[in-house]
Amino acid sequence: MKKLKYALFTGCTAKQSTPEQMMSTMAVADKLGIELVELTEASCCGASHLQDYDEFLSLVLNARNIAYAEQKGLTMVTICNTCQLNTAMTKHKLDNDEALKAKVNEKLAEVGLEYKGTSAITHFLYAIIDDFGLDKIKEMVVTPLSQFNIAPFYGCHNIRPSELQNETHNSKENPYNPTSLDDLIIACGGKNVDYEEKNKCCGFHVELQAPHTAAVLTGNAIAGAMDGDADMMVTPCPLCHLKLDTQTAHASEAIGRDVELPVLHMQQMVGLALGCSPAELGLNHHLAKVDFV
Amino acid sequence: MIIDKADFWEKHAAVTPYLVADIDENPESENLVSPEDADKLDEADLCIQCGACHYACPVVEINEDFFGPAAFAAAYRFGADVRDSADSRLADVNEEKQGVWDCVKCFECAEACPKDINPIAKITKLHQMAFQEGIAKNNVAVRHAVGFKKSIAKNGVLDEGGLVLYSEGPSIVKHIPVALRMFSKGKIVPPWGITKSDNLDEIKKLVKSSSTAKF
Repeated sequence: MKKLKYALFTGCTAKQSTPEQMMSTMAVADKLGIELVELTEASCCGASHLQDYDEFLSLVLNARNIAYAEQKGLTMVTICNTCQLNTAMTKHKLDNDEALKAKVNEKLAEVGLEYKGTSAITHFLYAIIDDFGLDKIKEMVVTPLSQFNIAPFYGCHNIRPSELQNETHNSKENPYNPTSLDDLIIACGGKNVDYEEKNKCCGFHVELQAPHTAAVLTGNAIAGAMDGDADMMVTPCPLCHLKLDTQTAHASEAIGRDVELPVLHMQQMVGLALGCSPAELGLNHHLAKVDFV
Repeated sequence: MIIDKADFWEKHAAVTPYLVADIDENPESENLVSPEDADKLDEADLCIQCGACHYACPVVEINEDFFGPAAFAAAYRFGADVRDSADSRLADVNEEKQGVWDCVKCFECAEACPKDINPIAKITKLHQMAFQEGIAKNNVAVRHAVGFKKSIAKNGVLDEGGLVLYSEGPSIVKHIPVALRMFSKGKIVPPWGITKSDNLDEIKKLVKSSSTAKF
């Protein structure tokens, strides 16, 4: 197989509040022989909040990020669901509206760049499923996670709006019953936990302005996984991870029940199965106890 | 099966879901809307008020004051109509707890809508209208949106701690217990430790030349 190579849009979180996500991404890429070229020029995607304030600016900034992937002639890979949403949404808008694309390119020309629409954009989860293949991952597993019940937590911005999301990968996902992460858990030798909250919202985006709503959503998600007898949760989104891992006290208080589970990034789970060490995967950066290793 | 939609209708009624306009009782010509102006409704007028988005919304389930996606789509439909002159609708849907700023951005409404109205896109437009009309309040939710631009203009990437500080102001103290735990686990980078975007001058230039909103 030809060596897989992508332009990596890390997003901001991987460089700040979830360093373990960056570490595990690189460790897994290394194990799988995938080359990731980091887009060090990229700015923040706006995280769906800049979009509420200044939509045009958010389009220009995201188009600039994509333009750098295009310059390298590579597919852009994201490791954050919200980066994926905002980047893919920008691409969809510009590719379907010539006038808007021209307006955005007028701005990019000021800094010598152009958005062409030549690079695909996909989340690392789908890149490894579509391009690398679950069967191959299965073959490479050296530490099957067979003794663990693992609850997949998909994160809204990888599965909705499904029409947009399904443009970005071959493995079509049903937003009401997504399966990609379940399949990855099974490929890693684990037992996937089916529970009602697996495709629900974690509340991250209203953490500051509506803390009660945010805490109830987080609490319900962890409680659902616990009731499904999960030993741990796994998510492809660092924002979901932050909510589920760091906000358990608020979540427990909000739903009147103590909730906490180890919450792994999707890359950490794959890394463990492929034989990476806990230190390589940054498991020491978690707040919720990770005591199964 | 018929469900009790009382809360749906109550919230629908609360957003002034009709045109507020001075009507000439003896008009001499039709009150025409140009195709361009009609396009601004972005198909919000196709809503059949089925309630699917309302009952798919996780916030409606938790916060009984929250108007919900259908009411917001209706607010946008009339707010974006050139003939409308309602004075309180936009402010009503910008109020804390009931308003658009409590939307969790889960896209459940977009997925549930059988008419492809995409209610969350209307919610986004209502946010933007609040800035355009100059009625965005100086509160934590609004500063959170504005703070992204400030952070990007400075670093290219986000300064996560700086964003929370700008958004919360003195209320940031309530985050200290969790922040200390995060700091002890290497999850908080101080402002001077942030890796800024390469070619930051490009980003600064684009922020300056492409900004369309003010706060």
